[in-house]
Parts: sequence; C-alpha cells; structure tokens
Amino acid sequence: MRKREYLGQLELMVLLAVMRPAGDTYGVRISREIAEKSGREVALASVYAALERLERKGFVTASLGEPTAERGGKARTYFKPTAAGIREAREAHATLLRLSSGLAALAAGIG
Amino acid sequence: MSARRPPELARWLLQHLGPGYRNESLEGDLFEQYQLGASRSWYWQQAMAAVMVAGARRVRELLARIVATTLLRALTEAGLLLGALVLAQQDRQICSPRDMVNPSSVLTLVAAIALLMSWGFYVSLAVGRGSRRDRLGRRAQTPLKRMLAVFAITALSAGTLTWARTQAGAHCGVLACACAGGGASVVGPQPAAQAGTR
Repeated sequence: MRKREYLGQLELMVLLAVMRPAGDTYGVRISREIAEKSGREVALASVYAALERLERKGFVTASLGEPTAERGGKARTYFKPTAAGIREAREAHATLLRLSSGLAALAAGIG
Repeated sequence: MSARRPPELARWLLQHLGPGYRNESLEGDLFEQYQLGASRSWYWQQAMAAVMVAGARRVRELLARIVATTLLRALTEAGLLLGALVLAQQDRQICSPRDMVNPSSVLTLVAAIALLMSWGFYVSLAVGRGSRRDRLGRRAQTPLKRMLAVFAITALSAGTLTWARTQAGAHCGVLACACAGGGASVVGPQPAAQAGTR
C-alpha cells in the first residue's frame, strides 16, 4: 500500500489556490489568491517551496510557458492539480469539516 | 517605455543563492510585480525570503547527511580498530603450522581480508567523497549507501574475528601454553592448564 502523503497548512492553501477553473495559475496568481482569501501575505519563495513539495508528492504538475519581455525574458511556470491532488484536497477538506464540528457547538455555547 | 531595473544585488543574491527550484520563474514573477509598481523594499524582502528558504532547505538536507555520515564513520572506525586489535591477539595464538589450517584460523584470515578490503574502500570513499553530483546538481546518494556497506563488512569481519578468537581461546589456550613453554603470553584457561601440569 502506498504511504499517504499529508499536507501542511501552506501546502493545502497553495493546492487549493492552484485549483482555479481558468487553469492559468502561476506563482504570482497563487500568492495573490492566498493573500485575498486568507488575508495572509506569503512570500513568493515560500509559495514555490510549497509547490515543489506538492509536485514531488504528485499533487500538481508544472508546465513552462513562453519567456516574455514584461518578465525580463523569463518564462512563467503554470501549475495544474493532478487527480491525486484533487482527491487529497477533498479528503483534507472533509477532515477539517469533521474536526471543526466541535467548534460550532463551542461558538453556540459562548454566544 | 523602458523597464524599471530591480536592485542588482538582490537579483544577484536571488540568482546565486536562490532555492534552485523554478528559480527563473520566481525571478520572472518578481520582475513582473516590480514592473507593475512594487517597491524596491518589496523586491528586497522577496529576494531575502527566497535566500532564507533556500538556506533552510540546504541546512535540513545537509544536517541529516552530516549526522548519518559522522555516525557511520565513527562506527566503521571503531569496528576497524576492534578488528585490528582482535586480529593482533589472534595472531599471537597461532604457534604451529597445524594451527594455520584450523577452521577458526581460516575464518580469521577471511575476516582479516574483508577487514582490509573494507578499510581500503573506506579510505577511497573518504578521499573522493562528495565529488559526484547527479544531473540536477544534487550530491549523489551513493557514498552514504557505500559507507553503509563498508560498515556492514567491518561489523561482520570484527564479529567473525571476535568469535574466532573465542573459539581459538577455548582450545588453543592450552596449546599456546604447551608450545610456548611458558615464555609466550598465555590466554584462555591458563590457571587450569597450570594446575593440570602440577
């Protein structure tokens, strides 16, 4: 049986940010998405470090775009989730929902 | 319209001390954001974060390797030393040509050859270590695995030598005593043998 790869918090956020319907996700977009949705500024290098781990675990695939002048002649790397990545994100989401059931009760008690 | 030039030193640091994974894309992303109006301090912050991420990764990778290599080297050296000491002790107990074909002596010889081979291998590894790199520029894993093989051979050899010494001590102690005529060092059941002659 294959050993299950667990995701860290940043990895999960990056994986979820990669899952955009447009499919044009690259470093800046992912970083911006995380900042907008979580209110947390993440350094681009940290995003790439998480992407590297996700790629190694087989949860995302990367493809190189064309180099452009507005990027100083550097190409973009586009990321896409794999089937395993989508499955893992779903499982993590379900786990979080199950675990946070106590939170609602606690919040009701306080309220 | 000419492009804004990002801080040269920050760029240089990013290129030379960056994480290595998709470095070009990271540089391009930073350049793109800088053209869209990001400040110099933002660029510096991002570049320094990249250097720190790369540094932390290198330390993590190196630390495990250094600990494993040091431990294996220490164990191998201890094994080699123990083997050499036992070999020297064993050599003292062979006192006649008949003892040379004794199974424990043959085993000792084989273990000694294995010990010498592993020593040679160990030295060659210590001299040429870290020189090989794979196509991604990472240091190859093989030296550590080879060091493990050296350790296994050494441990086996030292174990065989210790066992052979115990075997030889059980029956050659009397022999050594008898053929050395009291002049040689006597090992094993010396008091019993002396009591028997009295």
